[in-house]
Amino acid sequence: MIIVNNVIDIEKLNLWYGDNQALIDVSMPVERNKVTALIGPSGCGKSTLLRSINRMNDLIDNCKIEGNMMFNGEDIYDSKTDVIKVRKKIGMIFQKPNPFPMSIRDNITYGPKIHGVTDRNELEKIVEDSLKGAALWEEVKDRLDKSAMTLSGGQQQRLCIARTLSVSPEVILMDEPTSALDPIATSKIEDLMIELVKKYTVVIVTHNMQQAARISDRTGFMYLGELVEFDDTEKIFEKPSMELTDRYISGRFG
Amino acid sequence: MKRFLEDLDNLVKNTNDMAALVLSMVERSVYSLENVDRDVANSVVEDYSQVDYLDGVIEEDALRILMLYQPMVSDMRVVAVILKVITYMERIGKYSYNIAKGALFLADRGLKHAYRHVTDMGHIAIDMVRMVVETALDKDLSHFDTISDKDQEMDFLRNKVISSSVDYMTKDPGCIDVCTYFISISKFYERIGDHACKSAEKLTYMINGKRVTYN
Repeated sequence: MIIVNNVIDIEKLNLWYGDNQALIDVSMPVERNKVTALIGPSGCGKSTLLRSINRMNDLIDNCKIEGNMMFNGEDIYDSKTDVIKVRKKIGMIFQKPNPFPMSIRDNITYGPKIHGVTDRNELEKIVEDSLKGAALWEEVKDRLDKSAMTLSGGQQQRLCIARTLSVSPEVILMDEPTSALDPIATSKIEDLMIELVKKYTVVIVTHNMQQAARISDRTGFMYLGELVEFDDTEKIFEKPSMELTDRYISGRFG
Repeated sequence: MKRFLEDLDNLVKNTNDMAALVLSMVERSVYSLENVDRDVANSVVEDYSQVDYLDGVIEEDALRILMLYQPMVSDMRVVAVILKVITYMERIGKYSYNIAKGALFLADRGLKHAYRHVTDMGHIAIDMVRMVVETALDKDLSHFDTISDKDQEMDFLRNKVISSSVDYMTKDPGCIDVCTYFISISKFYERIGDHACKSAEKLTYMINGKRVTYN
């Protein structure tokens, strides 16, 4: 018997923005406790695919979706699915750090409070655990009431990761999380990702090939809305099956 | 990107040139043994410094490409394999140099031609190195179909050279110095064959990404 340990199974997903088809028959597994990377040239659909995993595309007019997006065996796009719950379980980190204009502590407690946590001690524990989980605790523990805006770019991004962790997600989606950061901050986020997958599952969109090669276990290469190739990261970056993948990764186009 | 492709093309071209030079040295080493030709032997001796120079230059260029462009997928395989293959080629060049020195010694001793099994080994070495040079140019891996057989033939002949030489030396101690040279030269050809096999393995990886063993 094959034991399948996929958190997410994307099955024949098609997505249109109006008349423009942005995703074509995309099928891809996302394995638990692994980093899955999506690469491809701008406009290939990788961010669209990432955003469709936690229904961020719901917010876009004229967006139509067909196919299945199975999360722990349940279709995320089923009419009975609670979108808020989906987004709690599947968090998202964006290219530009977007902390709320409030204190570091309030950034972390914002989510849990919305989800009904009111106990002060419990909230304090969430703040500490989340900041530790995002490798930020030691840097900010003495100034939790200072504005999040006083943090550096790299710290802000880790704060956003901590904010995602505060609501105990299973999956963390990252859309080019380090492209606005300097090399040292980038390296800290990469180290953090390797730690995060011990407890969570990470899907990352990145334009940095070396980054995808360094941190991911599986890599999908997308082009013109299609998933051209999906395989072990080592294989994709050493000897991909498709000529197109080789040409893209080696910088021949895109 | 344009600069990277130019640099990579140059790297490949220089490596192919180096391999062609090394092949020519192996060929000339065999000719100098068969015909006891001092001029040809001297030309091999002289060419080694060029091989040594190319080994250094290509290595520097390859490292610079790694530093500047961090090549990936097939480009990464090309650069990584070149870094390995130039070392094998430099060694083959050095063995050809040693064989040519041996040919010069045999000429000094007034020999008319070298022991046949030794030159047979030389011809196999030429075939094997040529397979590497041609595959590097046309990427046709079928050149390597018989390289393992050639390597075994080489081992077989090497044992023959050793046993015959021991026989001769036992019968006539006066030929000990000449026979010792034959044993050394047979060792050098056997090593050239080994390095050609290793180069063939690396080229296979460069071309199709598969790791194979030839011996």
